[in-house]
Amino acid sequence: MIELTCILCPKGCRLRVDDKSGYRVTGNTCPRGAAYGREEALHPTRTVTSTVRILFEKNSETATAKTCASEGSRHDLLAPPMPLVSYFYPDRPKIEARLPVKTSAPIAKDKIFEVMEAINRITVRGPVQLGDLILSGVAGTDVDILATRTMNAPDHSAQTTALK
Amino acid sequence: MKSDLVIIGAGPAGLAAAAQAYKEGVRDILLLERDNEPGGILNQCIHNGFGLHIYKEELTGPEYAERAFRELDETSVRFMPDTMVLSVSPDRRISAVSRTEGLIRIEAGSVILAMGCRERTRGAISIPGDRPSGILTAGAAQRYVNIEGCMVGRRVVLLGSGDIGLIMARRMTLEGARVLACVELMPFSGGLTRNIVQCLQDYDIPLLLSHTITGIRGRKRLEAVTVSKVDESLRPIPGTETELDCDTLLLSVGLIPENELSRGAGVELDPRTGGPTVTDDTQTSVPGIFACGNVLHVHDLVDNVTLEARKAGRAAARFLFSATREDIAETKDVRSSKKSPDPSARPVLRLTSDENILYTVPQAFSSELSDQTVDIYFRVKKILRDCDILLVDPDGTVLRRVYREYMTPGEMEKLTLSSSMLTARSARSLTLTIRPGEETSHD
Amino acid sequence: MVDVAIIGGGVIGASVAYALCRYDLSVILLEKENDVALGATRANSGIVHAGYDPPPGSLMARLNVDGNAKMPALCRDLDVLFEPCGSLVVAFGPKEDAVIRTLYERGVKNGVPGLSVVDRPGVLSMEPNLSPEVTGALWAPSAGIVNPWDLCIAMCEVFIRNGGEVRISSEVTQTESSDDGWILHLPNGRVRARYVVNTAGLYSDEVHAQVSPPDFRILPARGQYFLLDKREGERVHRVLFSCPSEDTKGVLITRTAHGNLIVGPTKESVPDKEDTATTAEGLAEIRKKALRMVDSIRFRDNIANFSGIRANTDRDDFIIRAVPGVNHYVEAAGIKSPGLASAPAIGEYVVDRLREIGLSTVQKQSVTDHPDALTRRVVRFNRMTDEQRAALVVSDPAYGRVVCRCETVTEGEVLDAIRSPLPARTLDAIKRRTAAGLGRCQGGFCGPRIAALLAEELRIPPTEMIKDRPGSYIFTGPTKGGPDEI
Repeated sequence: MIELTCILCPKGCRLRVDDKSGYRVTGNTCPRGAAYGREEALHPTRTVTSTVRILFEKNSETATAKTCASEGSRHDLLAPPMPLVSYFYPDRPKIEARLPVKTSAPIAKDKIFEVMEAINRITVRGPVQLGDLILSGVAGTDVDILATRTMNAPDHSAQTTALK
Repeated sequence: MKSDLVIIGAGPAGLAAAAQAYKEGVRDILLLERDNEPGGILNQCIHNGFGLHIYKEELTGPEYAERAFRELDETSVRFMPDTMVLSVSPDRRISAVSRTEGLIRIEAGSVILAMGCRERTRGAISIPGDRPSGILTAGAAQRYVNIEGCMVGRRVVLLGSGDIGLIMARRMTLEGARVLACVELMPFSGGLTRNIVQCLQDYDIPLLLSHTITGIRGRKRLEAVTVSKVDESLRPIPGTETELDCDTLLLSVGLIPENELSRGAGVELDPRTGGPTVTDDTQTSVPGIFACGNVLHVHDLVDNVTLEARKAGRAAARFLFSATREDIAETKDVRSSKKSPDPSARPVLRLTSDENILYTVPQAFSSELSDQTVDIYFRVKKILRDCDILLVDPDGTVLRRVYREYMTPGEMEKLTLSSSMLTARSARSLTLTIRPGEETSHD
Repeated sequence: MVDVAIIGGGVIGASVAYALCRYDLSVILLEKENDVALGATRANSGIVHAGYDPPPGSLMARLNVDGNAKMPALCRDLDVLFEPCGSLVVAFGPKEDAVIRTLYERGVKNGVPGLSVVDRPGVLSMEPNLSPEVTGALWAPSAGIVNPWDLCIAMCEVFIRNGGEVRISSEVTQTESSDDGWILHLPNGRVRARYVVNTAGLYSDEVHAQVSPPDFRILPARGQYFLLDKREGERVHRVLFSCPSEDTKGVLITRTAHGNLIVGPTKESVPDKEDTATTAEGLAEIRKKALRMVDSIRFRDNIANFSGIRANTDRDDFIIRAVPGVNHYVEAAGIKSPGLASAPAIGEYVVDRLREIGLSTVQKQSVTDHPDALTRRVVRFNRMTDEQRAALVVSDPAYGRVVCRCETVTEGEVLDAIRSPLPARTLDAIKRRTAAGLGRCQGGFCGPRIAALLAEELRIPPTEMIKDRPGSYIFTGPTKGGPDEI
């Protein structure tokens, strides 16, 4: 017997899924709950989101004209603040930051930590665009790792101003 | 400097309000953001689960933010990052500062407040004990881990089961920390069921309901917390204390709308929401100043923030177009002669609620309902089953009755009404009330 | 060899250093912690008492009234937050009315200016939020509120600018007499000094015991507090004390120099001089007593609780003297309340004692030539007019970036603190100097920004950054297990 909490609505029904007799679901109060219980018991899947290392050249251009009155696209404004992690390695010629990523589709729940290990080994070079492919076929699956934001070189103008 | 519309904050609320106001024909829009890029809190919410209503797909926070920002592509909205608004006056004069622009003074035709909210801290709940490092709000930890790339601890206890806390329990686990427990004062969780399952149960993190933290030990870094069971009136029960060795305590104990600027502008605040009192068009008690998103009340879905912000964008545009340039100039003159706004100038239909309801937004309806429908958002105070939500006249007439099988404080409820139903009323107030349900009245 | 070594960098040690820095002397201040102002100075009510409490004729009475009189000018010179708001001791009922009369008479004997007893309507018109059950009050217009950290740090900074040295993380573990004075043993080396001043606060008895058999004992007394949002700071306009009586200890309600509301303290004797924990019972007690005075205080707007330890002693008075039978050694020990108010007078009083035992004091030429030598100015963006702000940001754009939203503190001010004569090296040190992180979000917003500035300026990795004392680390390492091989 597998015990689950239904996540389809705030009620959070306690589902019991009988894995000995055809994955019959009890405890549900609606038909959608039964379907969820069966699926969650048989093939639980999760989308994994995390971050990966990303490196930028130290003197790469940051968005200079920050007040953007002109019409058109302004993706160059999508630059994070200078992240603290970069101060771990002050003498390296690159700025290190963290890029948020996700799996392109849900993966089997029992693969989460394997996927995380693969994600933790990745280093990409910036800049990247939203949706860029970061890694294909993570952990032996057919699921990819995708960038979930556009990231230009971190804005370290704050620091340069301060040092003047 | 002058601007037709100034929006304070470029999180999901500010971005959606700007896009909507532009669509409605406003061209001179200034969007001020204190951080160095748009997106607000979404930038650090790297998990998925956003956007099902608005974008019809499941997005992560940064993806949602970027889409919202891209809606400003090809518009004339001026975006100013790294700009901190210092004050807003009742006559919509704004003072702000930035490194590149220096001190900026703006006369705004209309203002949309979209500053979001902040987290309650240890002090707000007065946890006694030592004051070591290693105690931080879940949102602060989220920024450190997801954006700054720094781990904040290795052995973690979480106090409060709000969604940010639950999400961070999973994040910390995936980044190699051990989360020992999620401690919740109430007998139920304040977070979404989905998060209880996918952030706690997936990782075997125990959820201790009706428990709280009654002690903190560690003079340098946190060393241990004391967990106690609480009784029905939420008081710790002596003798139930257990000590958990940990180096980090994450707090997810509530959010407070950030209304310091609103207060300075003379905007009336509702003590129940912590945000401005607004009419159905999100207008505050100060004409021409609107509010949307978490600065108005704390939402659990960003999609609702976007919807509310679009309403604010529309309303601000309407305000600007109904007031001719001269009118605006005139109101300013009136204000500069120190006359306070006359609230009776805007006839409103007040909305009150019964003791089961924590709050409603809006708190009133304006006389000119310009949309076909109006939404009442509200939260209940405790878990309620099988009940009817009723909207009643002072004379007892039920205007609307909706059945709900289950309601929880963790999830915001919405009641949609047709505007005609309200404009027909002669009463000055309506009451939202909850009664034991009649199963026949299914919505 | 220095002329004078001061042991202890609290507000008292700082006042001695400040009093000495006008003279042609070499002076070092030794502090065992990693910053000054970390003992009793770190956590107290911040009240500049008027001086009606100490027994007439006591050193406490004299120095309190004298220090109180000096405080406004000193704070003006040092650009320290100070407000001469006055204080009210509030009475409920005839018994307490009588106590107030006694305090009044004592205050008059002590030379406290402007004292008066106010009747019920009078006190209610001054403080409309007071409980209507109030029957009267003692009004002391000369009382005020000050930022104790700022006062201590400012005096140290001016001391350093005038040639003094502050050595942090330098606990005096042994005091050895030598032919020409003293040898003070530190964890990393030693300092030779002709004269020594013991201003070691909570540890002044232990420091004393290094040179002479103990004849007094420090009895650590803990005080717990609530610190409420600035919104609550508007609830009272003056320092409000409940009336002390034999069976209950009083509690005070006041705005702080930063504008918050502070409520406290408890008074508990604790065996451990470092036990600055708060307790559920202590906090409940304060809350109850405060609400009896002002029932509208919204404790849900609390932003922090903290405790301070006061250096009470088994004596009735301050112990300020050349230590009997010990050459060239002065102590200012057991400086309990009203120590903060007395501080401006204690520094000079200690210098007088040093002179009595032979220290010669000749004013420095640099001080004579530059009257501003003993003053200090700091940038406080949140206290400026928009015109001043505009000019400031033009002069340095770093003042145009607000890093602490609750207290409106700019990057420029944080950099000033890190680059000051007494540099801030920890998050709390920056908080004490700039108020960044002191406000309602308690560092949630400014934390990452200030951490980045500290990392940049000090060239330290985030793992070496500390909140407060050594060991109070904030980060355990980078995510992803560190850098990739590049």
